[in-house]
Amino acid sequence: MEQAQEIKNYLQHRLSSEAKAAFERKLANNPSLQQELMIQRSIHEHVEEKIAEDTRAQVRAAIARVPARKRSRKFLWVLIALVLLLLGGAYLRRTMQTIQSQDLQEYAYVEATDFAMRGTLEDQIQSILTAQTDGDVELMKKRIDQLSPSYERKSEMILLLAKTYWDQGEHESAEVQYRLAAKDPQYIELAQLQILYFFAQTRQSEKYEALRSSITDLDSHTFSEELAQLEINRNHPVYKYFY
Amino acid sequence: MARSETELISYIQQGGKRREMALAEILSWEDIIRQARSYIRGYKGNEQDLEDVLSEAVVTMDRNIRNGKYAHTGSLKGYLNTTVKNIWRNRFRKDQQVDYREDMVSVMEIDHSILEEDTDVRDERLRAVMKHFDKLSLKCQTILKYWMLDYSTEEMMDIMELTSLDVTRRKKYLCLKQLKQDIAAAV
Repeated sequence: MEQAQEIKNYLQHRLSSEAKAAFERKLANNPSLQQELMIQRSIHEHVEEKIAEDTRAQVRAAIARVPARKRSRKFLWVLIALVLLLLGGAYLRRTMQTIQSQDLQEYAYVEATDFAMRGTLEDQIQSILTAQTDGDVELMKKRIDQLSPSYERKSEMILLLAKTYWDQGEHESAEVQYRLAAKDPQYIELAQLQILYFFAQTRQSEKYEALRSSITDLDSHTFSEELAQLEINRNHPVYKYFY
Repeated sequence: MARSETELISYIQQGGKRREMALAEILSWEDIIRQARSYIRGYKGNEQDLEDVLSEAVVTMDRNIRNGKYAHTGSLKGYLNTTVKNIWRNRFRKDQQVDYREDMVSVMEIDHSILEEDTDVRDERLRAVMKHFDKLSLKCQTILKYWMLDYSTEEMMDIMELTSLDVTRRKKYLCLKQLKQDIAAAV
């Protein structure tokens, strides 16, 4: 076995220069060793090929662990995400446009300009509108309280005051004014619609549900269509995030 | 823990299980595979070409390190990259009959033995060896492969579940002796 090991070391270039020279001298005078070397070299080559086969299998396995299309797949996912984002954006845009096109705002709030458009120019009304423009709710309230109870649009002014309180973040004061306006039989339905909007947008769900359930005969309500649409909007999976 | 390239080369030189560990670690270098893939695809190659070329590069590296022919002074990764490029370049040039751009490869370093044409004589002798090697028992084939890969007698005994070191040595001796006798009788 020592000779086989020596031949192996010779074939694998592992002998020192001296040992190699000595081996080659021995080889020159020894036909049996030459025969041995020839055979072992062939074995060496064949076994090396077997070893290479094992190594190739390992390389194939290693390559399989690094998928060729990894980058492309990542790109594909980015593309899919982008398309979904665009589709989502388009859907959202369409949804919002649909909601905005329902003209609910027209009925939802009393606007200061509304009074001017109707040609109401009394001094008291003008002073209330000026206070509203200035954001002076206390002055607004004071002027509204001074209005005659017989003034037909007093409740409208109260609704404007409520909206102004709401705009200023004073929700409790807003609610008080809305409920006051709702006591006027002429304005109760408009007030109810506005209060429901107020509760919906300030996320006062319990109050919303309580008021909504009090409106039993929706078909006879002046704003039945608006209320029905408000219900749909509230339950819309997208719209609710925009209150 | 990742080993240094010097350690990996030393492990391959030592053979046996250490070589196995070193090769496994080298084959876990994903960047080598990606670079080879990118290069080969750049020259109209496919995944099969990648397997062939990278396999030959790793076999060449392994063989050269074990046979004391590895004299590369740069990194092992650089060596593998260059070998891949050279093998693919030669194959591409031969198979595709397309000019390659010289500036794509800056270093020429390859074991030319894998590109040499086998002589008829060597083929005939190898066929005889193949025939008789394949007639050996699987245990004998394995033990001779391990011997060539410098597995220690202890490692061989453990892997092959032999009963003692002496039994392992004797098994190795008898397997080699039998193969040599078969070949000598055939040639």
